[in-house]
Amino acid sequence: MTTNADGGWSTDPVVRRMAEELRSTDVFQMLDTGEAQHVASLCSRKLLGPGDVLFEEGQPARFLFLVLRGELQIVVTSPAGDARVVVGTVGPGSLVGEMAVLEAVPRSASGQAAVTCELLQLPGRAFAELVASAHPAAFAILRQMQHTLSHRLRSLDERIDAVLDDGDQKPRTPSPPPVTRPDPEPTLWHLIDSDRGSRSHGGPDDSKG
Amino acid sequence: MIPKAELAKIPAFEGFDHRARNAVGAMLRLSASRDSSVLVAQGSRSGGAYVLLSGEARVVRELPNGSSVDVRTIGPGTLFGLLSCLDGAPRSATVIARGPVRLAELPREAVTELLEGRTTVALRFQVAVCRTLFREMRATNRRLAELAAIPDTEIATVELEPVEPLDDLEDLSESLLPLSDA
Repeated sequence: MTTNADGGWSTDPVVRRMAEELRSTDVFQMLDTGEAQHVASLCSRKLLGPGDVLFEEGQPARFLFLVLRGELQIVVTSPAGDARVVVGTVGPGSLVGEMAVLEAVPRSASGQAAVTCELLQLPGRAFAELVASAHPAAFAILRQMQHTLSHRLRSLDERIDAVLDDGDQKPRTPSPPPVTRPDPEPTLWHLIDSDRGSRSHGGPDDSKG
Repeated sequence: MIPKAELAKIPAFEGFDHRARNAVGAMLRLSASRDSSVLVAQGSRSGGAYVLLSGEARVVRELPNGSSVDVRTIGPGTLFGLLSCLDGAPRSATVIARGPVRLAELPREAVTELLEGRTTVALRFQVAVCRTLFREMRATNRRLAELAAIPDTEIATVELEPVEPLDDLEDLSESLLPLSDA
């Protein structure tokens, strides 16, 4: 493939613009122009208005997203179904929705725009192929995922502490949690190996990308 | 060294080919602990990551007021103790054996090497780490939602206006400003 003076190969202005946007984020800053253009060629752009739902809890996960502008709220429903809890917010430069794609499981939370948002979306299949080919973008995404997950887990611990450690009141301990075992669920590896036409799901994030 | 047949059954290493499994397997150190042994102590910075080979263990969060709460119970095949290896901060919870357990420890330097590596083995380990952390986050999210449902707790809940999912988000791209040439 012929590269241009900037090290890229694409002549498509949309791809070139997206590649630069990718490279302007902490996640993808280490990609060279050609690598970023390859990832950009797999992405499409989304714009959400305040309150728009990007993906819904329980729905199949088909895309991961990179927030370019705006802020998304990550919301979970309480087990009783009577409360929606904001468990976090994500802003520009953040990946979102990538975990469910990695595990090929339904969304564990909903993503809803707090304000006008602009995002890039990458199909799960494309991500699987980046991983399968050990593309530098796969390392970049996984590294960011590790960072995000560690940060979220620490924050969630603190929030649990805050709920339970309420001064004079006795800490409330709900029923003991069940034993969790790693499940032999469909994963990224199945996604790579599976019949490409066999997975067809609907859902808010299931656009024709 | 951990028997290959046992290594092949560890879900954290699912998707690993023979070579990757052998490479990680060679770094693991086996040990056994009795019931109620503290496998990982909250606040500690020592040790690496662990795979529970057999038995069960409680993951307990010790609260600032001196009490503690069970966060979850882990079963055979679970990879744990990663968080402190990733961010270098103290352990976020205590892990206590429930009954006799067998463990495999991946020393911290090996974890770091795999997390920073750019080989196929490293990539597969990084996928396994993300999957493990993701499951922990899911379990913790559920726990938080469960706690939020208990009256009088101070957690902030936000009432959101019901929003209909959009049928086709692609249509929104039409509302974007025209892109200029890069």
